[in-house]
Amino acid sequence: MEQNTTQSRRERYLTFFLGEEQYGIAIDRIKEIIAIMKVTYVPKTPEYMKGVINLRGSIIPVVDTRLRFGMEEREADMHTAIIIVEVEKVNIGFIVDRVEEVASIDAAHLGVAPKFGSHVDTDFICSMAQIEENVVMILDVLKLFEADELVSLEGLGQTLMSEGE
Amino acid sequence: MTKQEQVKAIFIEEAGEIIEKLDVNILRFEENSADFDLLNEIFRGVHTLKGNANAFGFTRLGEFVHHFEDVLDHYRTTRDEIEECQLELFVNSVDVIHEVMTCELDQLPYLPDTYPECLAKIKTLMAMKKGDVVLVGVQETPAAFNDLAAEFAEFPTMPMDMSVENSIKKHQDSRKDGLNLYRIDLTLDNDCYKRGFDHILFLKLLAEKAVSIESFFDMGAIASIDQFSHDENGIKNVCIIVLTPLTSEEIGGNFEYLFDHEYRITLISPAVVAPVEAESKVIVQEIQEAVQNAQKSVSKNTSAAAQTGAAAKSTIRIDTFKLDELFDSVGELVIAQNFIAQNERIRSIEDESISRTIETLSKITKRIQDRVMSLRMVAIRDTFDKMKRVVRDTSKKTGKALHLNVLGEETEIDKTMIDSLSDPLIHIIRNAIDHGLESDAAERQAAGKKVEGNITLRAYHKSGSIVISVSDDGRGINKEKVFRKAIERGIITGDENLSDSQIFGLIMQLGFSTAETISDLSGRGVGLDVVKTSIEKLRGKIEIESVEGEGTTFSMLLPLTLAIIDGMLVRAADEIYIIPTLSVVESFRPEREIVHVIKGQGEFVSMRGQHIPVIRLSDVFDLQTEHLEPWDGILVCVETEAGRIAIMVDELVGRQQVVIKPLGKSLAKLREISGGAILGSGDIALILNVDELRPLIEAAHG
Repeated sequence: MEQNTTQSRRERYLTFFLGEEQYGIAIDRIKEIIAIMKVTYVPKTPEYMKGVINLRGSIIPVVDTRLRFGMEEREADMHTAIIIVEVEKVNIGFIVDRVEEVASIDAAHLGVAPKFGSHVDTDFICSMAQIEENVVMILDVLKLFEADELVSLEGLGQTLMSEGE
Repeated sequence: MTKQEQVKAIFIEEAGEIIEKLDVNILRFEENSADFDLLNEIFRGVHTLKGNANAFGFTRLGEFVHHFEDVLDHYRTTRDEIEECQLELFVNSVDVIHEVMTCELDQLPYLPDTYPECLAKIKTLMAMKKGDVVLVGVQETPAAFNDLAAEFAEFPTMPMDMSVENSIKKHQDSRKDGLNLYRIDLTLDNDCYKRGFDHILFLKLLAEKAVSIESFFDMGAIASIDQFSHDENGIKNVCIIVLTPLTSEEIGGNFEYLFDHEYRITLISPAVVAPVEAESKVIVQEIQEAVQNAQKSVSKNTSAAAQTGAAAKSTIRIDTFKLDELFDSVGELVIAQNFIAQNERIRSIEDESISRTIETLSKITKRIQDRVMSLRMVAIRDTFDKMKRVVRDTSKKTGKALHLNVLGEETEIDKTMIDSLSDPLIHIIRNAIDHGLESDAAERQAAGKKVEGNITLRAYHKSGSIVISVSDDGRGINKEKVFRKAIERGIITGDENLSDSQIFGLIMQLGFSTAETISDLSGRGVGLDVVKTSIEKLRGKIEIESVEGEGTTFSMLLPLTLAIIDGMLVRAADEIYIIPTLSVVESFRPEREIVHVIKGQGEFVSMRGQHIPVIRLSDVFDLQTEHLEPWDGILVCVETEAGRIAIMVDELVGRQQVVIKPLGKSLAKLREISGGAILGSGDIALILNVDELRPLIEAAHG
């Protein structure tokens, strides 16, 4: 409505790295960031579903974001972190290589996500932004959540079918 | 929520409770229609309901309840004998109240069909009774309380104290044996109307048994007409002199709407004014006794009030969500406490005071956990009371005379479970009456039983679970018939080697019904399978025992609470899993000879002539582990919907109570896992849903 203010409206994003690529998530969705901890394996789930963790008495599923985006799996190191994201009281943890910073990005600087190469799933990227030298891909958390509900079912069905053959 | 809505919500909840109580009471009254105390209780409930309904604009409910109250009031005061058809009318009226309440809540424009019919009946009954009643009423209660003005007119100018003195004197003179004279002083708060107190009603109740009663009202504090507020009490001080055969304990029942500080009952001793010398000592003694008795009865009165009156019992309503939060926090506390207690480094500190403190901490934690648990527990009484109604209706519908025995009403059960228990219970009870009991008296007599059938409803604890059972002494289940029918319906092939309880269990399978005729109540082939599913949702199971010709017992085995299960911890590969102990039959390391591989069908273990499929947890869950032979591992034999299976694990770790936690929405669809639990170490163990475990035939020897 107010054209003037939109231009200078800044949103804050938490940025993190997966390999060389930098991603961002709107900060209001993030509940907390914790260091990597013991993840209990849950059988019969898609490979990227790493398992569950005990976060102070609550059991929270954890997704390996690398696998989710079709990247190579990587051993955890001292930088590996779990970002706990909350959408409508549902918590999911995302394992990332390294958490970078909280960046304020001008809404005007957000660009449309381009079509990517084959190995990264582009559906979850809603926009792009330039921070200094780097290009940051802003993730659409809602899409990620929705997809996980459906994909986990589909994945399950496929596993069962392939086993049955 | 606005304030108005909040108040309304409270009203709705309260009204719901009153109606539920009415339901129960009216049935008890039906059994014993001479119990006028009960009738009084019903009346009070209806009265409160009327006030509330009108206050919130539920006029249709208010109107009905108003007339119902009139009828009840009539019988209450006249103690007329109540005929069968009138009792039926009462029971139906409560039903109508139920329905009208629903209509009001949903703001439906129409009313239940029974409403006008029932209301008309009540009005006719009232009109019929009214003629001869009024006179009787007046004769029995000498003072006409309906006309307070007339009473005040008697002592227009005399100060209240003096009038009271006069009255006491007058009554003392006319005192007779077996009658007690009381002076009751009321100092009412101005909000007493809101608590359901009503001056006139109060006096009416008091006057029921009184020989004589006089009351004095202090009208001094009444606000002038322009400031007058109809819902605030202006008559604060009331003094009542009553001559009655009742003890002060019996009178006490009338004070339930009042706070302790608002009333004082004084027993006035017989006059000591004209004693004959010789008798004086005796009299003194009598007075002392009387005083002692009075003291006793007063103290009894308060304790009795605490037991009976809901107002006196201090309870507090808590949102169950808050309880769950508290429960979660306590769960965390227990885990943290375990961590401290098991921590190697803390243990290595050999300091007595530290180990003592840790021990105290663990005791306190356990106690807190137990108490928090008990907050969720409620007696099953209310549910059983509801079932009485079901039994009554079913008995009438089927025309089978029967007697209901209820045992273990005090057994406590998780509140969240109670709500989902009613429907299965209703179904089983109907089933027991409709199918279980013989259809005619002759058949029963021929079998040497009483004509009246027996249905027993029982709740008790059995090794960590709660059992709720419904038994009948009817014809029992015909095993062969069930077996034949199951084959006919394609539920079994007939080759299975089934135990008795497994055969009985077949009647709960989908699409099974052995009833020759389909009745309105049961026998449509749907139902028992629904019952089974809903009990399983509560992590319980149903067992059926039956002796042909002697009767059938349906037992529902339920966990103590929904939040905690007794679990067997097992290890497969490097993961710990939990198998609910309720489903475990036995666990053992098999001999090599009893394990067979059937080509294309996987591994089986032979036990007592049964071939039980072996399910390798590590294969099903695709765990990385070296291949073990069944005789190197442990088989845990569990009972599932599809018969027994033997789950193969590496070792048994232990058995413990675990708090069930959901795995989150995205994992909720996993059928093999029903949830997770946090162990003392802080690690998570997944809880197996044994009913969904299927052998991986190809994977086993593919």
